[in-house]
Amino acid sequence: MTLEVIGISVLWLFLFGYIIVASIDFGAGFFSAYSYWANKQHILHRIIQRYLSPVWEVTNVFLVFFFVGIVGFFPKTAYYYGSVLLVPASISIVLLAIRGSYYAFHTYGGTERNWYLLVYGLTGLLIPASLSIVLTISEGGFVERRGEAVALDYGKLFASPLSWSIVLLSVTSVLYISAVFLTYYANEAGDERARELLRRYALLWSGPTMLSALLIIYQLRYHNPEHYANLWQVAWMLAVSFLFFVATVYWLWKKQRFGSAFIALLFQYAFAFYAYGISHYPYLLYPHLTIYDGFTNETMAMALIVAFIAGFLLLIPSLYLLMRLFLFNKAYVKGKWEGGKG
Amino acid sequence: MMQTFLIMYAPLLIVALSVVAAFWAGLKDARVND
Repeated sequence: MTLEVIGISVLWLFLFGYIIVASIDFGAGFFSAYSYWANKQHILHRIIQRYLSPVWEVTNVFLVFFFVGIVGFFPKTAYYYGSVLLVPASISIVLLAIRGSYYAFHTYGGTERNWYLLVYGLTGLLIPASLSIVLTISEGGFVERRGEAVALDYGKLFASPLSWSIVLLSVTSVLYISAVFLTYYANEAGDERARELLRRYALLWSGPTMLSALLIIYQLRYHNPEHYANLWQVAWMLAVSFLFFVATVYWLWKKQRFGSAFIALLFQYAFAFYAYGISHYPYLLYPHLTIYDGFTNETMAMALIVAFIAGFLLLIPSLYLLMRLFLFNKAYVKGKWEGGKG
Repeated sequence: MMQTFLIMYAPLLIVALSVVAAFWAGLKDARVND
């Protein structure tokens, strides 16, 4: 295995971690606002707040690791994606700032403003939608080289059905992943009404999620036939992913094994995400950039791999402690202990 | 032109409608006791 492949594998792992943790966070925030619109805030508010309080500061660690890593391992990505993503990434950062400000003012301030809650809820959908544009751009056809400069063709991007398909998948996935996890979490907390409502949301979003995933495969056939052909080479991974999807929906439908349902969802996304990544190989940006173009020097690569594995080994026990002390602490989940007060 | 629309955009519109329907159904769901 070459250093390039090890590097991109480590980064893909961090990106997968971010997608799962951030989806739960974004979706929980959205459901918090959505339950207000649906007049069900009294059912969901408590369980969502108990989940979000200890988690919201951790989520972006994965994203920071990914960005540092991709520029460290593949410096040329900064040249291609840096200017191209100036607007979409800036929008994401502004939305992240709005989200952070809501947490800060809501947690440390005393007042609750409904319009702020709605804006916060919407950021839970708009951030993944704006970040998902990276995946669309990586499929090629949207970036033009003009001499030394690269430019993004916004007209083509907004008119592309692939682009909107990926946006739809990002939104539906966020809601589906989040609803499945929160169903399990509400079940652990013994909150039957919240569990029942979230289970309905999870089942409701399972269909649109699968439809939008299939839609992307369909659109790839026309937009990027090379990637589409490569995807068929790993079709078995997509089939396994679908089986895990069926298992999740089955357990949710039967109102049993909510923990197993969430683990099946993790495997579903892992298989689909890695199938996508493997079939994308070796391109970082079709057809301009592969992982072998302008890879960093060997010393830097080794240092980065060691640093990333060490970082991962630090992050995993931290997450484990967070889960033991807060998320899955029976007393905390049930609202009998606030944490840190003995 | 029409054929291009049907091939490229019609499936997208169907999935987009399913997303809108899911949002709407979640808002209208009254089966959980308040």
